[in-house]
Amino acid sequence: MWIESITIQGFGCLINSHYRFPKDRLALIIDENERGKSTLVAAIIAALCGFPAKYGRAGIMKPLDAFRPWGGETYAVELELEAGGSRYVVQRDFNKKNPFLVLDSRTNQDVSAQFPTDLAHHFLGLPREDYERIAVISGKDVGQFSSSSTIRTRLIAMVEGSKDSQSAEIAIESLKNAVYKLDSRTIQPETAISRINRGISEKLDEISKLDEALESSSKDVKILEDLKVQKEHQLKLLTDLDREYARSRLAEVRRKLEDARRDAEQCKTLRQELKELEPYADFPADREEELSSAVTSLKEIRNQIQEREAENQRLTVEAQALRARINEREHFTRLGRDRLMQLYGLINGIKDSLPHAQTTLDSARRRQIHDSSQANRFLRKAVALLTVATLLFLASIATLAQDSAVKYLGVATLLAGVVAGTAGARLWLRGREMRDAASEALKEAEDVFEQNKLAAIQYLRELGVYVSAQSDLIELLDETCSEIKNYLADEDQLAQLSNQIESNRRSIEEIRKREKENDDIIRSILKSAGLDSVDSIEQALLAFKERCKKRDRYWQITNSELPSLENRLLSDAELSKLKAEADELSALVGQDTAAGDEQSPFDVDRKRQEVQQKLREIEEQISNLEREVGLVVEQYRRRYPVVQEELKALRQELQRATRFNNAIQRAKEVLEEVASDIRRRWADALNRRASSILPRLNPDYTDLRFDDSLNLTIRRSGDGRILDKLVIDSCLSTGAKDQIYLSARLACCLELSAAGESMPIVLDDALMAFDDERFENAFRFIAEELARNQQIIALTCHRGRHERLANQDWFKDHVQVMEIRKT
Amino acid sequence: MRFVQFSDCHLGSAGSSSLALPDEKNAILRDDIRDSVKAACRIAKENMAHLVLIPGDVFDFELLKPEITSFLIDLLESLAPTPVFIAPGNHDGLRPGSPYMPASDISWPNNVHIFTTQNFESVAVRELDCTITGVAHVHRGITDRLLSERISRADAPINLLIFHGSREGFRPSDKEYVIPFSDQELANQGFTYAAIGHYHSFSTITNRDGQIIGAYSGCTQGRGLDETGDKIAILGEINSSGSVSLKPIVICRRRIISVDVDVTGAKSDESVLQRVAQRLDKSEAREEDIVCISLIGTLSPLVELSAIDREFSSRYFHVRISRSRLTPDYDIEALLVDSAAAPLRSAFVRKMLERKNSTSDPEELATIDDAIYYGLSALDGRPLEPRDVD
Repeated sequence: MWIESITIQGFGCLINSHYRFPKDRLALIIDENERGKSTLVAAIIAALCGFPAKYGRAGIMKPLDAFRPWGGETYAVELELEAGGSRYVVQRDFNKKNPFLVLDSRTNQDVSAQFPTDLAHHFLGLPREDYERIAVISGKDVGQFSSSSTIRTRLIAMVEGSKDSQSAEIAIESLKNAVYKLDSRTIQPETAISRINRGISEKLDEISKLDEALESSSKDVKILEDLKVQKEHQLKLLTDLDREYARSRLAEVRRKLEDARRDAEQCKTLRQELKELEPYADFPADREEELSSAVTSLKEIRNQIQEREAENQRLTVEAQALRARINEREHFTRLGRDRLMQLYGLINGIKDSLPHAQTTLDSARRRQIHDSSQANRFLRKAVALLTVATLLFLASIATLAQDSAVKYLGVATLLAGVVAGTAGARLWLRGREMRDAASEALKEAEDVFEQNKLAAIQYLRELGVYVSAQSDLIELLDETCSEIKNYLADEDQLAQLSNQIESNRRSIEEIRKREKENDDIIRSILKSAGLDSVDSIEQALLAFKERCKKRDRYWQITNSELPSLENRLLSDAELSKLKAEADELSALVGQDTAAGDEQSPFDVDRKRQEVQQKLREIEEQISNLEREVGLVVEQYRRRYPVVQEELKALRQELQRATRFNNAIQRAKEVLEEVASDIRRRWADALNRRASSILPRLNPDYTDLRFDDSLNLTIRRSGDGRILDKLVIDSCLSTGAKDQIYLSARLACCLELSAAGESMPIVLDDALMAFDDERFENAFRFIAEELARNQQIIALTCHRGRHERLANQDWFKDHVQVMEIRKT
Repeated sequence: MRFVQFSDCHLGSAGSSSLALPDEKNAILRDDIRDSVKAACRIAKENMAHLVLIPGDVFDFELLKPEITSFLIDLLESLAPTPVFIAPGNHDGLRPGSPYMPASDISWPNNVHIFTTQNFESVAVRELDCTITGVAHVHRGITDRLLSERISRADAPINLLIFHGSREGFRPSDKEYVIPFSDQELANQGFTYAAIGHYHSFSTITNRDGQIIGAYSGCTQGRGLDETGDKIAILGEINSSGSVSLKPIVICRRRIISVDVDVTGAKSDESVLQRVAQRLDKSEAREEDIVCISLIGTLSPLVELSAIDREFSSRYFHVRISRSRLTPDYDIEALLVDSAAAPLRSAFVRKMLERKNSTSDPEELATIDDAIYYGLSALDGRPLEPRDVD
């Protein structure tokens, strides 16, 4: 596309101006500041694209109004352009409602209907904002690098189309840091969601607890139902008991009235009896016990005397029998108790030793027989051996006289004879010793036995026991011992009986004394009671007791029965009251008196109290349960709607926060994706084109390279060192940065132009920060290289710089100088 | 035989938060609910109904106050000797503290029968030659399919069923699932008619022959955006052949009217007001109604909406304006204009719209609309404020 000319009837400060732009060279418009250069650029854009349909924020003047001529003159522009192989005249009268008119230059026909108002969009594919942002390169934009404004951020702003340098990165950061206001606090949306969820969980928990509490009180309600049934039952029971009580009480009242009548009669009888008993009132009844005791004691004493006397009689008979038996053993009596006891000991000793001596004797006899027999065997063997020895001796003598060989046999025989002789002699001696020892032992045993036997016979004879040769001494000794023992026992028993008889006698004397004392006491008491004339004590005692009873009866009536009865006697008022009550109860009970006598009013009342107590307990239980259930229900009704409302609000808040968070996340995710795509695409384009532009603007640097994030590197021509983003941003001069940025901007324009229509580029003092040498190089490159295929309209207020170049051939060939005021 | 059916009165409750009614208007709405119940009873008297059927949710258990119970008892007593049958619902179920509980000290009039068992029980009304079979909810509702098996009853020429349940296929999303049943299951039971409560809109259930076998009367007074329009009581008639005819009679004084107003392209308050007014005129909203205006479409940020509240709040009992369905106030069309430079904003919007076109999930669509709004706000350097959500 090529803008051939613009005619401004009125636009801002420009009135009736016309500018024709050369087809084959750079159009350079030089004028001082405030002369309308920027207005011209705005007019070109307005003519090409119109004004934006949407305006900026409130408070900012709309572009349409910003360029309205002050004098209210015509507000119109006309543009001649060539695009898509055709030429058009575009007329825009901004005072008109529909200001847009496109005429085909060749036919002069209105072809407006074929075009949208934004022709840049139509021909270049760039809506007004994009075209203006990309194709209009201002020195103000280029020359604004500072420490906080890097080439990358400017480029990003340009390629992303972000107004006010608000790049995707900042927007993404803003989305990342989005906050949610919850309970007057601003927090991360996730945190808010988490808190809201916690809140919801708490509310649900509370609702659940409220529900549980209410449901658990269902059991109480069931109990309540049962209790109410029980209460009804108890109330019915109580009504029945009230009637029962009335019946029972009526019977009781009637009984009381009957008792009162009976008591009155009894009282009268008692008073009569008292009168009759009055003479016995002072009878000494207090001595009755003493009298009784004395009589009893006397009886016991007399019994004791009788018992003792009877016993003494029995003991005397027994003693006489014993004495007779003792007298029968006169030998024993004569020897005296001491000798008898001595002999008893001696006989007892012999009785034990005699059988032992007999046994020893028998044993000695058997030994003597045995040893004699053994000795005889030894003697016989000795004789035999001696005989053999003799024979051997003799044989040896005979052989000794023979030849030498037999002589030796004789020697041997002799030696054998000596041995046999020696053995025979030894056996002989042994046999003799054994026979002597046995004889001696027998003799000793016989002596011992004989001594014991003689002693036994002597003692027995002293005791008067006859001992014959045939007597069995041992048996006699046993019998005698037993007899002595019995005799001594009889003697002891007799002595004991004598002592007892004497003791009883003394005791009887003592008892008789006590008998006399008791008798005196009894007589004294009877005398005091006026009964001393009675014959026997027994009769007196009976009479005494009879009078005592009368006296007791008198006092019983006086002190107890009569007062008690008198106390019980009802007053007339009481009687009247009872009669009235009976009448009242009769009326209440009516004819229903059937069971009235079965239970006492007390029993019925006790039952009634039990029922009342049970009723009270039931009512208390009901009251407690109703209170408990009521509290639960009250708590439920107080909290449940509130919690439900809170839960509802929380859920709405959660929905809001979740939707906010989801949307924020979604926006961030898409923005990252889109930004990444855009940068990657532009990085490719810039790498293709900017690298060749930069050395022409600044020969010190080559190889401008962009990565997918639009971070860039360059190579320093001098030392070939590659400078990264950090070095570029922090070390490069502002001029060098301008040149890199301008390279990128121009590369963008060329890239977009290459895709379709060539894009008219407006350079509004874009090289203002360049030094003279670089300015000349850059301007020459733009004029010679770029302006050949691309319309470039350059505007500047630096007249001198350009005039210095005006004489150079390349300038003359490729630049047409124009001025605002001269047109 | 004539009967009147009404239910879901929710005595004690107020307007839902979506209406944003202030306290004094909520108090009036509570009175409206009472009036609607009175109106239903009046219909029964005026038409000399033989029966009154109330299939549940007469009150909200948690909001019940003694005066509500007294009101109800007096009102139902005034219908005597007409028998009234109540089948407690999930909101007025048998719970400790409920006046329906046998253990409560509440004495119901003799003409009122309350079903109190969790299984269907039958009551014979000899003078009408009919049986009424009903069930009571306990706690927060029975969820068993009680109608899947034959309900035992004492047969009579007319057999009525009364319960609080969920008709399958018609359950609003936020409704509890209680005693679910299908039309077929109801038809299989063979009742002459089923008075059903739970859903808040009037609807009838017919058998294959097109005969009415049951109906929801709906709630007696609208209290939320899901209860718009007239609310009715049913005046029913069962003829000698067992055929049922129903006549819905409006009993609510105040309706909830919900209107959507597209404000896309409106350049000024006046324009928005005009569109809203036109839409309301078509809706036939009355002075005593609660009007909920939902603005939809896109709206320029330069248009202030404060005037709408001022303009309409005096015309109706209550006006609620929702802006939550307004799409981002960016000119998406302008942003989508093709550009060879493919700037970030248009690329972002394009990408978002691609995603939007690839989904039909309303929630996702709303999220994407919001994401466009927040993304553009971030690119504009504007603060990121959460958008309204109804």
